[in-house]
Amino acid sequence: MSLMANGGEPGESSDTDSPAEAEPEAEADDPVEFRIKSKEPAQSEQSDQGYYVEQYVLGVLDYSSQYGIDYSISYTAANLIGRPAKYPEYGDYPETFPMRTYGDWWQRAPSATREIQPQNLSKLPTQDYVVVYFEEFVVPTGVAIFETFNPGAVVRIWSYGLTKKWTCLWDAADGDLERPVFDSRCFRPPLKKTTMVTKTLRVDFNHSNLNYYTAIDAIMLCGRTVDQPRNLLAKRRSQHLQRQLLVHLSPPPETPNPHIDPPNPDGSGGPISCKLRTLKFQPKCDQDGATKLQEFITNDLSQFLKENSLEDGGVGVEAPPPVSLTDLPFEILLRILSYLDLKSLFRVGQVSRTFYDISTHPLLYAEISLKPYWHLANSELLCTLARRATMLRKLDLSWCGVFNTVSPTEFKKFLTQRGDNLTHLRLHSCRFLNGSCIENVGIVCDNLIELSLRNCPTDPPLLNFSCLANLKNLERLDLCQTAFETELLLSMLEGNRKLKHLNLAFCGVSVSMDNVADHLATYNTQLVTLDLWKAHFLSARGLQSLASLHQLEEVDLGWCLREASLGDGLLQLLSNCPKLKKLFLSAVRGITERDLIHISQLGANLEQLDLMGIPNITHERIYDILVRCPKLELLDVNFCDNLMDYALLAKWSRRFNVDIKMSHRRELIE
Amino acid sequence: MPSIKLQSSDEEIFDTDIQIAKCSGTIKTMLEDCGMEDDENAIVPLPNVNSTILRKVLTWAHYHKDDPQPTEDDESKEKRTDDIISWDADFLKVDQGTLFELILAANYLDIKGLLELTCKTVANMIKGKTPEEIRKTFNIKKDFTPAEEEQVRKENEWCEEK
Repeated sequence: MSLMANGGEPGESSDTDSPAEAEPEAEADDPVEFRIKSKEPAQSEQSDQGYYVEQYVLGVLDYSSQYGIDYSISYTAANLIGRPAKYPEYGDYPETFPMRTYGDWWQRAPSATREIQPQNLSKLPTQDYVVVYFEEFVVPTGVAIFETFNPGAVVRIWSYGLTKKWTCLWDAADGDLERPVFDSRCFRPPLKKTTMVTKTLRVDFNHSNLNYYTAIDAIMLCGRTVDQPRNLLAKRRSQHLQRQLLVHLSPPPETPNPHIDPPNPDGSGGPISCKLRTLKFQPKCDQDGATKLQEFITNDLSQFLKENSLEDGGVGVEAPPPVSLTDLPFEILLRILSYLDLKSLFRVGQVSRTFYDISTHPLLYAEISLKPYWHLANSELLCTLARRATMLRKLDLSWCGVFNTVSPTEFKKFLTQRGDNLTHLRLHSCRFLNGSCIENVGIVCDNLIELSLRNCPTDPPLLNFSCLANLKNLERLDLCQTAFETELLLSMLEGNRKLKHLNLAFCGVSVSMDNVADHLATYNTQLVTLDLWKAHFLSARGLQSLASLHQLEEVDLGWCLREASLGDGLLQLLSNCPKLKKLFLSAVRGITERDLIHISQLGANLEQLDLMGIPNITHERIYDILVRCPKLELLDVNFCDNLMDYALLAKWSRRFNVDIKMSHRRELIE
Repeated sequence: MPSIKLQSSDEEIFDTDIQIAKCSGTIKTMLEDCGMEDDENAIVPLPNVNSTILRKVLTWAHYHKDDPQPTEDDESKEKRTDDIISWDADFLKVDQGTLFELILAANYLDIKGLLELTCKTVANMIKGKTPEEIRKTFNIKKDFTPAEEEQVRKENEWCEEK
């Protein structure tokens, strides 16, 4: 069985996936071989089950974050394609797919944001994801994830079926993430049994327990092929119809039996009903019930009363009716409902009229995040929410709209109705966004304090719309991994003098970062955090400009500043920005011995310092920094070729209580 | 240690440490406004709380007397309902009637921590349940007209189980 077998479903893929996202490569494959393979099973009834196939990723449809930059092949999501390049080796390899963050360092940095509608988050919330597709439709029986560096971040695996629905095939339990392992692994979690047919997977990650970046080398999807997905779908439909018919024909189920319900772990129901449940007491079952009641009264009642410390006669018929949920005042019910996630809030609205009224109260919809419901969000839901959310302030639609479930028109309608009071808008990786959506944001949402547009579709580039320049109150602008034009950005910087947080990571080749730095120095002197990770076109001149941003607490210059020397730039930055807590200088090769001395002399408030990949750092300089930066918590000196005394570094790490990230080599970490 | 006397609706007197009593915003205001703080024999009447509930409330307040004051910027943590400590969870293993009376008492006495805890506990009893399960749990009657029910069902289509 060839893992990268030719084939695919020339006729099918455009039907099942949205045309816009359809996999072009899949169509181009050799149709002859496909026919040979598929002919036989299509004719014979027995081979309806297809055959077992193991296949590697054919292409990447979407991802939320990657360490590398799109126009490079190193450290990008595209490395997931095909067989493992490195597995079973363990280490930091450019041929794999790592993401941008690990641990909780980013949440602890000054640029950290608060989740919108946090009550929607699960215990292990997804922080990053990747969507990949394979060649052949299969009924999935296994998924293998080849992890070659710091494994253990996978928390969920989803598949997208022919019914255009996402199904969660595996969901990590609490204990699954506990222990960091410093070895590569082929992770094959037990999948939920399913009959769905898929060739598209989404893998969710949570890095919070990781010691360092995780890296994925390849993903394998195993399962039985189905040769005629369309027939199968038709067959399923008829089965479904049959089942429905059967339901209608069969006699109605008997009176609800309390035993069908799972035991209530939170002790819902009063103590009596709980007790009755444990005694298997069923009031509806005739004679037997009477016997059981008799037994209960004679044997267990006194014990029961004692256990529940009810006073004598407390269960008597005369007792005043206990307070019930519906007796609570409106504002308390509102408060209770404010702790519910959006799904539960909708469901409680289905209980009764009173609860519908409370559950649709605008105060409960001041913050909406559909990010955790990316797989359920659709135009109809947006429409319903637009009616309820008349007091909406914060909206997060990140990750929504994969495969066109949200229409740009509905989004624009929503914004027109509810956008004018919005203060926070997050639209990371929103596949439905088009130019006119962004235009609408600029026109309608003029009270925005935060606009986050990470990883927006770049083909064609979206942000060439001058309307965004209408926004004048921004304090946070996040354009990470989104293509935009320098001119627009410059006018936005000029217009938003209160800007505090700016993220331009991965901003591509077309942006002149030195001009941006000049503008920041002139107009945005309140800036607190700046992320220019892999914004390659920042030079030492730009760094000099940044030095006049006195309020800076965080600056990420990773992979910027490609020259041999930075001149006085870093010295000026350090002496003018005494509040600096986080300084990332990953792979800034021009850093000299003198610069490191300045860091130790002027970085008294530093908490996170990244010097990854800087050559010629000596142990002496590191020691200086550790001694003179008492607040330091994180120091990354990976790939610093001069720092070879790992035992010494490990000793310092303990002594100064600083998490020193050194070599990635397994034997040294252990 | 200075103490005061609290009187429940059924006229039971509770001799209470003044610092513990003051976790209630209502009692704190009463004491300060009426200058009762130095009067050993003053009795604070609490006509909305019966002795059973008041005893529970004071037990809770005693256990939590050293808790730090909740800070304002903990807004996002506040919405989490999985952070209930095990003492509190055990404390609230009571029948629904008592739970709701505790909520009313916490509300009347203005005890932010207890109100939050009890409301979260009820929220946890609702979370993840189907409408029918919620009705059963709290003994609520469905009173929608068929048309209303259909409309609500439509709005909820997105969160229905497959």
